[in-house]
Amino acid sequence: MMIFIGIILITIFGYLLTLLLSERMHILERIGLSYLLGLGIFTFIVFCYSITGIKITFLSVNIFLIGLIFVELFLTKLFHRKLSLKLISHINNLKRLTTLEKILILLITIFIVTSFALTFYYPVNVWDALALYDFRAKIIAKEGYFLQIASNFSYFSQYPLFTSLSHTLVYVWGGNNPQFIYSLIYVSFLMCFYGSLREFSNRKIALVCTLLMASVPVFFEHSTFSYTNLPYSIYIFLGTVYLFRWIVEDKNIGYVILSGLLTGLSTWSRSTEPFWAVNILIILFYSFYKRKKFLFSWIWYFLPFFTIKEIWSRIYHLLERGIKSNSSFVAAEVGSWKDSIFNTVLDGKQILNVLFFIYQKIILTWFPVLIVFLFTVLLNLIKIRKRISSLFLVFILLYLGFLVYGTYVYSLSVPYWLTIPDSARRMAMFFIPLIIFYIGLSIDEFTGNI
Amino acid sequence: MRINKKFKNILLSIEKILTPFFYIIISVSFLIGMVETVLYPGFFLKHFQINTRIIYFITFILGTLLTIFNLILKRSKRIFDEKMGFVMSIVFGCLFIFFYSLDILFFDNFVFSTFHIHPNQLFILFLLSTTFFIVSFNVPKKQNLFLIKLKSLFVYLWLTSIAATLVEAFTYRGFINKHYLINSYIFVYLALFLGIYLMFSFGKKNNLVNSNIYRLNTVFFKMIFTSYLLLSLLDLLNYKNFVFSKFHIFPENLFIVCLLSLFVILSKNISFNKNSKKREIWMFVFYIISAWALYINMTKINSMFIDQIRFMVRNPRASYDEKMRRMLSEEFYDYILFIKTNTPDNSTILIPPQTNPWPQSGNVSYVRYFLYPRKIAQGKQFEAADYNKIGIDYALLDWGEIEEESVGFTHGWPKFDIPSEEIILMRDNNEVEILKENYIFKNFKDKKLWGLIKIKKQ
Repeated sequence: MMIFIGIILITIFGYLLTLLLSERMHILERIGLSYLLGLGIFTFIVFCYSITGIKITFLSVNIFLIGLIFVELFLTKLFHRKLSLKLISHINNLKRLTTLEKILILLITIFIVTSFALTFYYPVNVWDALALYDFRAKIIAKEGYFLQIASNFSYFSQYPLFTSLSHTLVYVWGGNNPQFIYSLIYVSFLMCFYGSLREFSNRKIALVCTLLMASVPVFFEHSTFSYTNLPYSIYIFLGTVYLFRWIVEDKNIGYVILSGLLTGLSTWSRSTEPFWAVNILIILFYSFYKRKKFLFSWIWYFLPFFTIKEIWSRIYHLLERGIKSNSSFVAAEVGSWKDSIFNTVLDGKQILNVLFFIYQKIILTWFPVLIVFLFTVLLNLIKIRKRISSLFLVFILLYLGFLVYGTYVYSLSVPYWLTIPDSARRMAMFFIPLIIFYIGLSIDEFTGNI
Repeated sequence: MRINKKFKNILLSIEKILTPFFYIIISVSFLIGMVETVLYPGFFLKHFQINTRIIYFITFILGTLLTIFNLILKRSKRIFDEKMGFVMSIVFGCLFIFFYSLDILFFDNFVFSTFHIHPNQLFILFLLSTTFFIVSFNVPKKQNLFLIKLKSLFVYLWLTSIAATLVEAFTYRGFINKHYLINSYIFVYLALFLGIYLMFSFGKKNNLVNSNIYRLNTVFFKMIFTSYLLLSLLDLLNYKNFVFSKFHIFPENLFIVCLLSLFVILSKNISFNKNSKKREIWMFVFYIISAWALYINMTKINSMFIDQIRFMVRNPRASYDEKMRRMLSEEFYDYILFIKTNTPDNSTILIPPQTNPWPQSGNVSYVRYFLYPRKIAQGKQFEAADYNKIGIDYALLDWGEIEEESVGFTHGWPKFDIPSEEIILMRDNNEVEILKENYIFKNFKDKKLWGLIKIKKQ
């Protein structure tokens, strides 16, 4: 029962946050985002207060959560935000659905229900979760700290704490199987995906694309066990989508903050992959390209992103390498890329090997969604320069370029790079929602509904 | 469709030659079919050395050719009225379903023993009547009338495909192909292609069937879909083919019936704007590709999770240990429970190197999850160590949990002698055997054993 109340409180915390950042949002998108933001930010807050010496207990977690909700309530009053969800009117809207739409919703529901059934039934059992994520969660729940005890265990601070602290919250609230968190992440993501796409396309296309998204085997699979890849992919995807929406819909600065927060939370799930740099490149370029209007927008992006990324980087470097520094670790990380950009020798044969590896081990695994993607790209080729969706295609290509270049640099320094196709595949999971989102965007533009 | 006059004349002359030949051979086919219905299938082969299947096959081929000519030439005057073929096929179709149901309801050969009729042969007569109906089809010159006619043809094909797939659901996939040399999926594809063509041609008002059939179909869909889900659940709850062995129904085949029924329901919801037809066609292609992608994804998910779901449905009250045993392998999980039971919380345990055949029991972080607060230390394949100096209390006696071996590593660990107080061996049914002796590797070499070595303190 306490877990249920806890999850509701986390969602309320996220809901109020979304309300502060954006007044107008699709109802499903807001509910989905509430859980994703709530869980991500609250686990980060728990981590921060535990660093200062406050023990992670049932009491401290609840006091902080309720306290934060009160602060948010005060702010919503201050900014005159309406709290109502108007659920009844939205439920009434369901009656207007066509048979096809009802069938699509039914199919999406089947995926969601199956995911929940599996996560409620099976305990944590996958390799990395047993070796690290869930073990760490149990130790933190028992001891009440992370930083203070991390050096007692090997391989303890290799990954950021999003998954572990999510599990810890479940244990602290009296639960014994935290796997359902991933089903909740999956359903929240589908809600966000639908809501975001609905801004650009009609209901039918948004539902078809959401169903396609729900049915992607790797996403469904990751919704049933405790890995970091699902939240990572979702956070980085949503960070990109909100950035795109801020650019094309001329939205308020709340969308930039949302994008920064979500991209920051992606590094709170997995910190090894530097794909967050793509969003930074985009916002910097756009802020200077439209400098009359958006010169300082990048600051709003950097603040939340930097806070999350920098705090974890500091703790990681302290625990893993014993390094303390007054200068920024994120800045140092970006600075270190200078060498890989300017000093990397371009070896044609190796580039071909990398391209072949990416094509065979990563891109081909996006089949059959890849076929739908290529089909929609072909449909939009004629007026590609005039289409809004083309900007999103550029984002995807930027990510792809980053993937190729990153793999190339990695291949030069790590001799066994060819032996880890599974990790590479999981790392590139976030491309799938990106390409399905593009499908939804462009197909609707093609029908001329925008 | 505009066709060249010369080509039209050629088609007309071929049709003139083929038509009488077709009517002769279809009459012969009917005669053979009826005789074999009341006598027995294969009667003509046995007594007159005539393979009736060849005659039926020629009839169907000729019928198909003439139908194609008919559609191209739009011939409205036919020798026989189309209603005659329609009524005949309905009669034979209903008779087939009726008699076949009696056989299913009572016992095999019930119909033959009571009425001296072979129900399977009635299906041949039904197919012949259908061919006769399609060949006699009047094709109006006006496009709208032509489409309306095609609509009735669609209804007919659609009902036939539902009937054919239902028959295969109650028998087996390929039943019709085996007995009547015609693949039931031909009807399904024909109905679907014709349906899609009609949806495009009619534009926004594309009700493929009239409102009464639509309503009936909606109820039918709900019934058949529920049956499909229930029967699949029964298969899941019991064992594969449980439903077939008990009820003689293949749930997988019912799924095709569901799809056919769903097609008509969906056709009402998909509208095409005649003014931007090209765009609509592309959109339709998009939906088709998406549906295909969805199907591929669902098949993949099904194959990935069916075993887990089956276990879950059959063991809803399984304990934590039972679930973990299922997910991590019995060999490993039972062994880890054995280690946990037989070692104190404050002990330090030496485990094999992290490679095959010890991918699980040789992984420090992995084993730590189950054995914490015990401390875990990584051992080497051949090298002993000063156990007292590094504080080791126990070493695993570990054959390995998988068959595969990495290069340079073989089953059985430790491959060196260890001074020990006792060796605790894991036996079947949670039983334990204790040997009070030193661990001498050559005594345990090539023995498939799991256990614990309690190291002697000095």
